[in-house]
Amino acid sequence: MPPSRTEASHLLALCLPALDVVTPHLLRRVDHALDGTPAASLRDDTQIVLAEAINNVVEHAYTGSGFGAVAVSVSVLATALEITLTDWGRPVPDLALCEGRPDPTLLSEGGYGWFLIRSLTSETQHVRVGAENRLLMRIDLPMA
Amino acid sequence: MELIAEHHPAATLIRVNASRIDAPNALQFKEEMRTLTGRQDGRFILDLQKVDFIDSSGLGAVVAAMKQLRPGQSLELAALQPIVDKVFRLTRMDSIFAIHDDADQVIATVKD
Repeated sequence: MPPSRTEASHLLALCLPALDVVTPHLLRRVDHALDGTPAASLRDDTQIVLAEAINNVVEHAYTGSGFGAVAVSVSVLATALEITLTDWGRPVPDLALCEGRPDPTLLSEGGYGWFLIRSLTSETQHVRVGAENRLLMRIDLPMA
Repeated sequence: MELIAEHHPAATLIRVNASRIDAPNALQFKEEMRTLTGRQDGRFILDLQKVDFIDSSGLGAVVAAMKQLRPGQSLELAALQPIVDKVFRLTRMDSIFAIHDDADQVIATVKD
């Protein structure tokens, strides 16, 4: 289903180095952008989801290639907050394939990132377009 | 990252004096926890009062801190702030750790 662009309110677009030390800065910028918008109540979920998505770019898309950039775009649609991430790293697997729920009794030290994204989003789309990875994530706005 | 250990009769309290446990500092957190828990036996309470954000790397580091304990040691958590609480609940790690509302209340239960 295409996003209803006519009703979209674009909040923020920025492009920063995909480095884990930069991620907190990027998260703060997005957090401030949500202040006073219909998506303000989604601030915590947005921080969790966005941190995991950016970590994935840093750890997987740019593995072994030094580092690159990540572009983040945030919009409020009629019924959802939409976050789009673009990177220019190597192709990464579609997160939709990473089904399942981590078993806490295994005491795994990783493997929670995509699960957290899936838990808190209503929709994700992951596509490779030319040399770009594009990840679109939507978090539903609370019903008015 | 700054971790401050306080020794009390009830437990060793480890206060995290940082607002985040995430990808940039998760490894450092794990190593500092290894050093602190290597010095002492018994019960450790990790006070997360000041931590307002954790990601999956930070969660993994807290799990690692528990896994690197020796027999006779335990790790409990206290004062989970909203995002930290949410991450622990979603991943059901709240079923693995004993979680207290307030670290100071726990240590106050056993007097000197």
